[in-house]
Amino acid sequence: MFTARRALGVLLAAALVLTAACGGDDDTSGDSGGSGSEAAGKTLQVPEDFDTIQAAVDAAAPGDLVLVGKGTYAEAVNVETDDLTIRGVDRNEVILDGGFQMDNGIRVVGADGVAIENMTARNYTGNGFFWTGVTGYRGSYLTTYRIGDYGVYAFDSTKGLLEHSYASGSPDAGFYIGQCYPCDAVIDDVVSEYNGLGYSGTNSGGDLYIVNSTFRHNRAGIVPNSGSYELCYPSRKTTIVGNLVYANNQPDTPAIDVALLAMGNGILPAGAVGADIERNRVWDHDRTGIGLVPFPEDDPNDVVPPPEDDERPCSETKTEAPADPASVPALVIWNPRENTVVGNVVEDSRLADLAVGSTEDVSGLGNCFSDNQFATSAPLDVETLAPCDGTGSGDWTAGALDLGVLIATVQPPSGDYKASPEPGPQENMPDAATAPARPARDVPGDIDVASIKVPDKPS
Amino acid sequence: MPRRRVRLPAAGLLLALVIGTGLAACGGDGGASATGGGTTEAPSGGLSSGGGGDDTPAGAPDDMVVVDGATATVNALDNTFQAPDIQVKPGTTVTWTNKGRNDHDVLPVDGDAWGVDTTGFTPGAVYSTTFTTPGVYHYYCSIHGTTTAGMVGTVVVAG
Repeated sequence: MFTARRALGVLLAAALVLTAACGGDDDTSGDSGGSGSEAAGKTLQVPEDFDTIQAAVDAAAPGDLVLVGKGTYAEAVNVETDDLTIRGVDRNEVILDGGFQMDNGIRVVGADGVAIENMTARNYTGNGFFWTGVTGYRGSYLTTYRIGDYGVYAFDSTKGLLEHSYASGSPDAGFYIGQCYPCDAVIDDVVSEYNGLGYSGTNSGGDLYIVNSTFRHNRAGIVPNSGSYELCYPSRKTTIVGNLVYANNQPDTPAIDVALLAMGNGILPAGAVGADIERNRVWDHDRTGIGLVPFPEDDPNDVVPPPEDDERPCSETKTEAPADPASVPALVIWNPRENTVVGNVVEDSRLADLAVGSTEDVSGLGNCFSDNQFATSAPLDVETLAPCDGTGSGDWTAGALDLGVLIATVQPPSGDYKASPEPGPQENMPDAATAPARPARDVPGDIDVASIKVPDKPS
Repeated sequence: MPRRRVRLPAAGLLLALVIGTGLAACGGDGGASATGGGTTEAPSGGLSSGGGGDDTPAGAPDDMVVVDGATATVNALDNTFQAPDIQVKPGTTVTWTNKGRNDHDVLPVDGDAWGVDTTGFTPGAVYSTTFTTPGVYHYYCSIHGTTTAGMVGTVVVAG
């Protein structure tokens, strides 16, 4: 249907094309500098100029805008050109559909600075929107649902921003940032629901912020985690501030094994190091609201690196060979260390609002809790035992977290991701049809974490 | 499994690239046989002299783990082959194990004489094939890489 609005969009886009084509010596196509990160490339329209998104992407040059019209596109798009902006004119009506046959909706492999905006990916066996091996990425106003692994997925990538987006129906995680340190990335204003994990980040951290977002009705909410099944272990320094995290006990979501293991917890750093968890509102969980727990990894690929390696960047460690397999035990434990839990409001947790546990002496792991509003903790009175300022005191064995219960409980099996709920319409990007290209060269930008307050409950 | 990591001298690599004798880079369709299967046709071309006494074929990565035994293993992590680039002798059986949490596949860049798709390479799965013919066999995971970037690896058969 060719509506008046669409016609206006086409005219404006055509004007942009002409403007770019007539730019003469002032044409800075491919240069992402200037004001903000706007690029002065050309606009390639789908389906007007190209039948498929892939054809437009293949024809595009750095700085260009691929503008996708309303429609359903049965494509798995590969992007290998730097500094593209790929945008739908309507988030809810520009739909990439994998038909449960294709693996990734849009995959950016090694192309720096690619921004994807204002569209939906559904019914893919792998991932919805996926960046791997890039410096500079941005996903804005994206929707994913019914996706076989991750909804919005950034792997081995740095300098990123995922914002104003929605993900549901993934057995692993709705949003994922993994294998990066320092990541230099932000997740801001996203909603993640009906996934195995709302957020998962394996072996990521360092200037990694998850803020102002909602994680609800997943098996578990926000789960930074460590394991040698990806490189750059362990998870380090993930900052989680100002989020709404509730009712992550959903028994019928798709879920991989670790999501089943994590079920019933709001914020669950699993073997994470140095996470900073502040000013979140967390409620209605069958196990813990905020739980610092170990992650047992069987058949690991490597041993746990020593704490003195905590500051080693991913670029340095990921090329190193693992330990001799003969010296790697059948099971390694990634214990939570030096995590900070401050100023959160946590309630209605059936096991404990705040918890910390370990397979070794938990009192010596440097985790701390202060200024939280909560009713229960495991061990008891955890803010006296492990305050973030001063010296703790008390009995760590009183009311200690029973890890056996966490591990042994049998949870409802995974649901079928192909049958997960279809979301309602999501907010559109402003001026999608007319805004200039904006490749991901200024990301993640500044974030004022200190100004973020505990969010109110939704009405 | 004895392993050692080697880096080709730059001069040797350059010489190999220059005087290589048209080795079937990427291995073509043949040269490997799946475990239990027959040996397939060897790729055309011969082994590069490599220069300076180096018998590493042209097109080989410049940083490989050399495996001296009759078997070699590669772990498929999320989303990396480890070690990504190995050198083995003809007749070596290479085994890939999916030690990640996600599905992967192992697909040759050229041809389909060997490799395993995602249905056969879910987490914990193992795939083996025997490389009989000298050559450079590039491969990749189609979910997490392209033929040249992302989750990619190489088996160099030489010696």
